[in-house]
Amino acid sequence: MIFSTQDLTVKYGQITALRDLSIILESGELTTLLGANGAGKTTLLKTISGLLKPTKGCITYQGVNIEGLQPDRIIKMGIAHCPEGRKALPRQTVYENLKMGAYIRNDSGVEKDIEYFFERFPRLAERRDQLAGHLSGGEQQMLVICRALMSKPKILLLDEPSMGLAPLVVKEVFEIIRQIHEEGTTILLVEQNAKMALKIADKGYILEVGKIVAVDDAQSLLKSKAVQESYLGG
Amino acid sequence: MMNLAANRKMITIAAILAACALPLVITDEYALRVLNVFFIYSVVALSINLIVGFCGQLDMGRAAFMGLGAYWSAILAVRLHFPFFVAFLTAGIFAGLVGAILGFLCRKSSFDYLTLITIGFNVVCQVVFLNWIPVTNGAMGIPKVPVPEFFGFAFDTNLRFYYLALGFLVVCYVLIERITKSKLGRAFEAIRDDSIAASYSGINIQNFKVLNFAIGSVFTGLAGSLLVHYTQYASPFNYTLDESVYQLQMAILGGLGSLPGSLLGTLILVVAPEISRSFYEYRLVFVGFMMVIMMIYWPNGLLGKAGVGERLIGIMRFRKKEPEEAGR
Repeated sequence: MIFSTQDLTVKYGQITALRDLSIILESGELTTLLGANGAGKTTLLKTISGLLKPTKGCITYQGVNIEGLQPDRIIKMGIAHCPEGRKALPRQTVYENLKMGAYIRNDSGVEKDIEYFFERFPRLAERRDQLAGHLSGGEQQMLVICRALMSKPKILLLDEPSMGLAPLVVKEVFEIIRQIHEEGTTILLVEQNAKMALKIADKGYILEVGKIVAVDDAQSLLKSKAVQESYLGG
Repeated sequence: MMNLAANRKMITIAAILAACALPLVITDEYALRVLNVFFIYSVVALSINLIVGFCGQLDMGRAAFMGLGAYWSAILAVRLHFPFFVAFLTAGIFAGLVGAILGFLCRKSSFDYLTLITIGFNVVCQVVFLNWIPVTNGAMGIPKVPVPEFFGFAFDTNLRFYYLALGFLVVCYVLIERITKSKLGRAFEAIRDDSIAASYSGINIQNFKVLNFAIGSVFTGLAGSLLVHYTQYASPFNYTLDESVYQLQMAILGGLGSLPGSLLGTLILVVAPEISRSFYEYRLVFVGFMMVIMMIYWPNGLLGKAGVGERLIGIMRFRKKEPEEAGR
């Protein structure tokens, strides 16, 4: 167990967004968190990366409590967050965006890592000096994932990487996520596209209005009747 | 790409040499005086650009920091008889410290509130300059501020001061350009463009905002100090909100995020009212009208993105590289 939350409760003013939420991430596993709009998926990720403070409960990462730390501290500890809605820095070039991802690093390997991503995603290499705002949705998503990986995280939090992308592009993005997983990064994938997510995941949690209602390994969830009815369209 | 960078260097060096030779052509004292003021205000516009253009903190109280630098320097030089360079350098540090404190106090304020706070700060500073009579001499101001002097060499003529102000501008320009091109500058730009994405890259937004405000204030304070040593008189009426707005317009006219733009904007707004001195009262009408035209045609300023400069460069590039562009 590399990471866990225990009885996490998060409130927006009077409204409880997460209620006594406990999840566990095993090292090297791809865990997916499924749920409808407003279930609290994004809230959980924001709480993990320090943008929101929990009112109760704790978050443990490598044996250390990290709830309530500043976001930059948490990233330095090795938890990178890929925000929802493709937050590429639109007025900086693709290259500069990648460099931003390595902001917390001081080692000399940054350029080498950027070249590595360019080699691996030739489409980004072609657009190296273009502004990120001029990229297509899929390319921006690729870029944002690469940017998060530039900080060499141990855990990657992905917030709805398929949002607003064409089905073919979604496939491509999921293929990338699968590859990153195979290379050994622990991933927490938040998704509405339950079928795609469960296909590449090891384990799945299902979240409904701030509470975990089901947890199982991905294959069983994919087959389970309840999940099929509510998330996979019967 | 290399070619462009080399070209740029050549243009910069040529511009500095031309500026050095300019007094050979312009010998008119009045014209030199306008140029000297232009150099100093350019640094103010650059510091505004660093804060507003690069970090997206809309500060509308820059004149207050100019005033702080100016009064600090004047009091040190006149009352306490410190040499010029001590007064000058500590004025920058003092303004930077006040900037850091103000920045720290509003590190959590969102965009609009920061603007309101800086406006308020400007008014507060002006009231202090005007009413703290034992220190600032109130409405009388501080007269007889000594001219800049280095080891016995006094910059007491417009021509001598010209080279001091030019050197000051070049040093500040290079420093600010270095900052914007550095890792620090990229963090500022990331905060401006998308603060959430910036914080996910491991940037402590609040600390960087405070740092940006402090660095900008150092430059503003230095400019304020140099100007007061040039005009030899610190007046509380030089650091009003109107003045701040006018300075902000210099940066906006040239293009936020473009350093050469700040110089161009300052040149226009310093020289234009001088040329039409008899219409001086109407300068705000003139500037207001110019701003409206700008909003319609070049919303990002003259040398900003998609401004006049970029369009010209775009046309030149397009002609050169037509086949390749068409192939895309």
